Amino acid sequence: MAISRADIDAILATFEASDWRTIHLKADGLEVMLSKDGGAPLAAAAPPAPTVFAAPAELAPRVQPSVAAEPDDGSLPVPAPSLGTFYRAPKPGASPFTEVGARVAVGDDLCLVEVMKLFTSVKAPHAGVVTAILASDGDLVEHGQPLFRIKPDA
Amino acid sequence: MPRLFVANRGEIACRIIAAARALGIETVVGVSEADKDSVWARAATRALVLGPAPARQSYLDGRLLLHAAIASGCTVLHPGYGFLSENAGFAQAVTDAGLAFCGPTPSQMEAVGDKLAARALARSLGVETGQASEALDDTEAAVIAARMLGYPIVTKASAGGGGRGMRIVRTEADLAAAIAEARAEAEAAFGDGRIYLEPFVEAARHVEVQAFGLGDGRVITLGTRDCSIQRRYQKVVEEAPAVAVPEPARADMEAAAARLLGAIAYRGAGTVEFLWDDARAQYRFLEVNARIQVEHPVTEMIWGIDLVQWQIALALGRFEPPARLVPRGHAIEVRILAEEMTPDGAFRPAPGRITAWTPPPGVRVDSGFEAGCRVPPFYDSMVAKLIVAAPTRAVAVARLQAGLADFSVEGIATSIPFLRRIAAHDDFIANRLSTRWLEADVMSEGRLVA
Repeated sequence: MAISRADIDAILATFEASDWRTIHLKADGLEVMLSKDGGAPLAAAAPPAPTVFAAPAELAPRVQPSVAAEPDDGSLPVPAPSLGTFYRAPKPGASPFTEVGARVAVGDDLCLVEVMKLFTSVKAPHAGVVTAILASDGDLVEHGQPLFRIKPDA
Repeated sequence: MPRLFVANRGEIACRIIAAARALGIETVVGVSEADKDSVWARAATRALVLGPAPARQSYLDGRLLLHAAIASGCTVLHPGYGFLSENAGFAQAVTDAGLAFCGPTPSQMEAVGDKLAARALARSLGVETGQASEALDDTEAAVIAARMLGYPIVTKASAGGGGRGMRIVRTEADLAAAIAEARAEAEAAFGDGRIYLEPFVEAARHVEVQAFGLGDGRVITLGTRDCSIQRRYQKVVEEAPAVAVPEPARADMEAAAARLLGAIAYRGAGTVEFLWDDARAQYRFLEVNARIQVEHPVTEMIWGIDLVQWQIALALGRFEPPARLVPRGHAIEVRILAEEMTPDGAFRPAPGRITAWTPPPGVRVDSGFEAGCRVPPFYDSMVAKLIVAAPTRAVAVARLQAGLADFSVEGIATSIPFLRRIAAHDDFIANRLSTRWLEADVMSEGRLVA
């Protein structure tokens, strides 16, 4: 039996109403990891509400991030590990993992990228200061697309 | 307006995009990092980079494909051939997400995807399946089964094709080792090591019926194809119709295909494959391919139809069977691979940058490449299909020879020189062919080796 959107919604509602801190559910080819702890201890962290996909009315060709437009401030891009939906916060209403101007240490969570309900946290590859956040909450991002720029500590 | 997601690459991605455009449908194609500047990435309304080059992290990752399809607002998905096209789990996930799938239902895929299950279904409908063993549990059972069938026998993997799990065995002494190899190969390729035995037919033709099921029990059959010219069980040259097989037998095969697919109310394009035994003038059922096939253009050329448009229209609930379908003439397709042939007759992939690409004028070439393109090393090596049609086979052969002579590619090695020698061969011209012709009769004698 396949797991439907309604089943996932029910799992999320149950989890939300419970006092459980984490769920790791594997069934029928689907894997869901939920946590209320905003990152730790699982690699995949708490999801926002179930994604509601708003079909884009127009399919404008993507504006390619131009190489020439890269700021010459010594910052380095943090690319998306795969295609997915970009989330800045561990769940709706929570504060974002990071902001422009914030300091990050190696391994700090920067955002979540969701692929069919599986959430992967993107971690800072080096310590430094976030100089730009290049995607908006809920955006569909592509593999390799720069999500953040971080200026490494000297 | 419907929007279609293309879950494939190369020429079939281009083919699907063109068919959708002809129907006024927007397309989104999921590509790997290696294909982000490809012809199909540019041809689609939009391309989305799924993941890195390896297929497991891009074209074989059903979750990524489905996420991309949903998030880009697609309402229908075409899986092409290969990759996830016959994966029932993927088809189910696409359907569960509310998208229309250009292909059979997941349960139909399962019903015919397993060769032993498909054989049992065919047999139950009175389709000639020939002798075969059941799945073999151990060597002892294999020895008994092989003695009953009679040597030579061939091992087959129940879970799939493409030559994997196939070994020709001529004596009992070689049986155990062949089965062990076949089982390991099938296990690695399909995660299912079930092996069975069939008698091996020395002089056989590979004949298949193109069918199109409407999903309600009605099945349109579109004649036969002869795909006997194979190398390592991969088709090299395909023709329609299978003129070497007598007309009554061809009509029987078409009727059997319609019965088989009609019984499961098959939906969409599918192929029923048969083995034609020249010596005995008999056919027997081999398997069903539950997808559009690489060689579908030869059927399109003689019937004057567009099967990919049919697939999309059916998935969208818009398909109307044509009032009149009449086949005309003969068509031949050759597969052009980015491979170089070594002096000893082996082939090796030759990926690289295409510096010049000059297809023959006025001839159908289905391709995903052009001058300036890089052929990446990660995927299947086919770069184009050359398809000719003519009123008769003889004229089609002449057009094939001319088309191959005029096809010029620089920067990468291709199989074009090899195909030219096949097209000029007396046996090919006279249609004296079998599935063993290319490897056993021709290449082994070095006659096609440069």
